[in-house]
Amino acid sequence: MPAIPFRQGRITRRFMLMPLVDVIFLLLTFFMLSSQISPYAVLPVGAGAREEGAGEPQAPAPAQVISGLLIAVSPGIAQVNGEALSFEAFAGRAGDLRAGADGVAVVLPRRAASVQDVVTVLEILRRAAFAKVSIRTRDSP
Amino acid sequence: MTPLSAGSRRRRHGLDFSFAAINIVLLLLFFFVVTGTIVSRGETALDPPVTRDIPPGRLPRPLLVVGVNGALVLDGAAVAPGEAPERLAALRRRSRLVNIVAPRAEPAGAMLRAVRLAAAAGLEVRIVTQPLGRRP
Repeated sequence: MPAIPFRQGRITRRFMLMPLVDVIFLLLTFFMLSSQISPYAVLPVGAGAREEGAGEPQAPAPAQVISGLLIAVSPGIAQVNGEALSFEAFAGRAGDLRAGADGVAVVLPRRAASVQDVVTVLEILRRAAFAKVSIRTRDSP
Repeated sequence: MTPLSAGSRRRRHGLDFSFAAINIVLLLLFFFVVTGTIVSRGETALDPPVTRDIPPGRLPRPLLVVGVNGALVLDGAAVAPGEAPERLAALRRRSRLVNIVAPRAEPAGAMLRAVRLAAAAGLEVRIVTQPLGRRP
């Protein structure tokens, strides 16, 4: 009996493109919807914000015990050692003030001061290379 | 011998426009993966304070959001007022710093309370700002 030739079918492995496209589009959609590409910056507050006076009952007035540059922050105004300055004027004099305060500054935000006011003052102090900046608040627990 | 038509030539060489489209989409995907930061809802809804001289970067983590009414959200999870100290203490075990973002027009009191809580937990504090002229 003659052997019947068995013709093997060729198994062709084709590259499946469409599932790959589906997955890539899903990933792209996910990252486009859930990610944020606008830039941000960070302003270090550091250990200076540890609120040395926080929690101490009946702490004396900060101006009597704190050495260095005292900056009371109000909306648009920085009261530097009692002298009211606009933020622009304060930025212009911050370098000179640093020399007289040994690079130490204490920021006292008033109740009406906004987040932007405090950040503006902190940035001015950072630009003027103050070595130690601390923030004090009066509503400490 | 008959000349090949344009369609059969394309099939024969395996050239397909979809490969080019996939390349572009992959490049877009890489762009978003590299430059983007995955954010939770509400983290970018507020306007952070503006700074001029601080170099820009990504939205940092861990992120403590101080909402308009003083509500705290840590990395997308709401923090009840009473449990903020223990949540920050737990954060201290896995991170040495925390980034705080607050709306720039709000009074600073709520943000400073958050700064105080974080500092009391032993965390180094950084305030998240937006570089001037780069607002979204």
